[in-house]
Amino acid sequence: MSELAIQTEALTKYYGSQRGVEDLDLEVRTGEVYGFLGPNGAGKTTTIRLLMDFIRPTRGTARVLGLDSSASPIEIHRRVGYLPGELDMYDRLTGGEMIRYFGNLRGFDAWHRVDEIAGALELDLSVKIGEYSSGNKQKAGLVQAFMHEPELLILDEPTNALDPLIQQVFYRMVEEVISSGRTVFLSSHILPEVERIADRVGIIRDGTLVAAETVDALKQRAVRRLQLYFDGEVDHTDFAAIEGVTSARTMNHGRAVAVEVEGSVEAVMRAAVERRLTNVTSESADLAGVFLAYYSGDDDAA
Amino acid sequence: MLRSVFTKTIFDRRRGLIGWTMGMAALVVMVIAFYPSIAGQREQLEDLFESYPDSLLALMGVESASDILSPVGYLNSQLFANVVLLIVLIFAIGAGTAATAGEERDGTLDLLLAQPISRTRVLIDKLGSITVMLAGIIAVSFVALVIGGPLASLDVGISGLVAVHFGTLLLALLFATLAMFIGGLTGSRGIALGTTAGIAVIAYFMYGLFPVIDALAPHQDISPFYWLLGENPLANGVPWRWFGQLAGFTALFLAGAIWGFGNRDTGT
Repeated sequence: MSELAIQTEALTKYYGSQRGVEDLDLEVRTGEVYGFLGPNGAGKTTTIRLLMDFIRPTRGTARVLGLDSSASPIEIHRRVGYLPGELDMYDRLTGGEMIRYFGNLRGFDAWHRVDEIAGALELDLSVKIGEYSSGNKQKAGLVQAFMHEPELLILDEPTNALDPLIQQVFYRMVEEVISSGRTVFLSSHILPEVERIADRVGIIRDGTLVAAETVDALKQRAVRRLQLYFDGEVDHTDFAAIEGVTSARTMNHGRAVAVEVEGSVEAVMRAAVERRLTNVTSESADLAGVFLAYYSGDDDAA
Repeated sequence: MLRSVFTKTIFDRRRGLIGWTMGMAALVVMVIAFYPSIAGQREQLEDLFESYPDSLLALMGVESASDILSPVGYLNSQLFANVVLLIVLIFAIGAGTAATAGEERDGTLDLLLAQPISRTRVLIDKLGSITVMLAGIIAVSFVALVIGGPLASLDVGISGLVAVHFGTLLLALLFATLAMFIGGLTGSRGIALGTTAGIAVIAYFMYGLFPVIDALAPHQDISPFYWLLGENPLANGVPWRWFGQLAGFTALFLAGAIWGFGNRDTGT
């Protein structure tokens, strides 16, 4: 039993001379939800297809559930539930027929679970896949990924095309997986989603992992925007000098200051209280600032 | 029908299978039914066929005009050297192409390969089902000739019928595995279908036309159609060497498909 559900070392894939991913060191722990975040084209799908052994690494290794992805793909597939990012299924089969087919290939027979999951997702399994909306196709893909209660779920953009209510159902399904000690690795380009369900986040940009931390740690680094209102005029440069403040500007004819703070707001608040603070508004800290900072690439010299 | 890759492949192709089976039945019954009246006009028809160029007779699967109205010559020229091949090869090449290149093009390969089943097993299952379906289509012709042939004085002997039908299955499998090989290697449905069909057409004309060109006549046996028909299995029984060659290349192409598909990055 490995403590890591997924471990890649210097995982690299070139397509000809084009880079897919480079020197990727991922660690996904057993029992967590890992959000694999990045813009489209960053290499999320390439990474997932490497884990599934659909493509082979140029160099480096990937271990899934302790098994080498190239050496033991069948055993990995037996224990993994997979949802592809580009979901194409057999249009001429019904959803139920497709699930029966994949279930049979797995030697799966707990068909009642299929009905439960399909019921929760409000999916009609008697309809031909060719007639499904993209949301229903996504649901059918989720059913086949979850039905056999795999130890590890590898989901490429799982909430793609799901309406908000069904997204909630999906989040509950993920929570059930975690509560039984299993692991979820999901890719997304939607930040609030990852923030909502992930324990840890890896951010990938241009094929390389630029950050891998807990959601909480990332939030610590998130930029908070405060608007401080005072009884009388204040000098905004007093605030600009405080550590962690990235910008401060005057509002309300000098009677208010808008500041952006990275990390803790404590020092700013202390300074504000000393200056007869009357009111504070703040935008809730989210990962967007951190995320965008990684995306825009402060170190984009290359 | 969705128990395995083997049965699903048959399920997927059931409409084509039914269509080609019925087409084969209609064709063979018609050819049998026409024989008595054609044999009755033997002299006029022989005069007509005498005027045909040798190359056309060669493509019809007979060596001389007098040959064409004998039971063996009639069946070779009306069925085994052309339309039967056309039916089984269309089916074989289509199914061989669909096996992996088709799924890859449709984008369904990802989910199939995500199941705990090896790529080799996928190919073997698919080839197995293609073999069974081809055998079914070919068996229709065999049964029709065994039962209907004697009624129309088309007495050719059962061992000859076994030989030519068996060889036809081998030739169809050769092209099915060639399509699987090219499709497995390239992942392209268009390349697999186009290349295999092109090779089949060229090989067919090599078989038919090389004998009438003196310089090329000795090389006729590079065509797999010669391996099937060159020694007239309907009259002479199984030519083991040539049928062995058909089977050998089929095995080679299958091994190539397993290697090519097994070691390649599959696309989305």
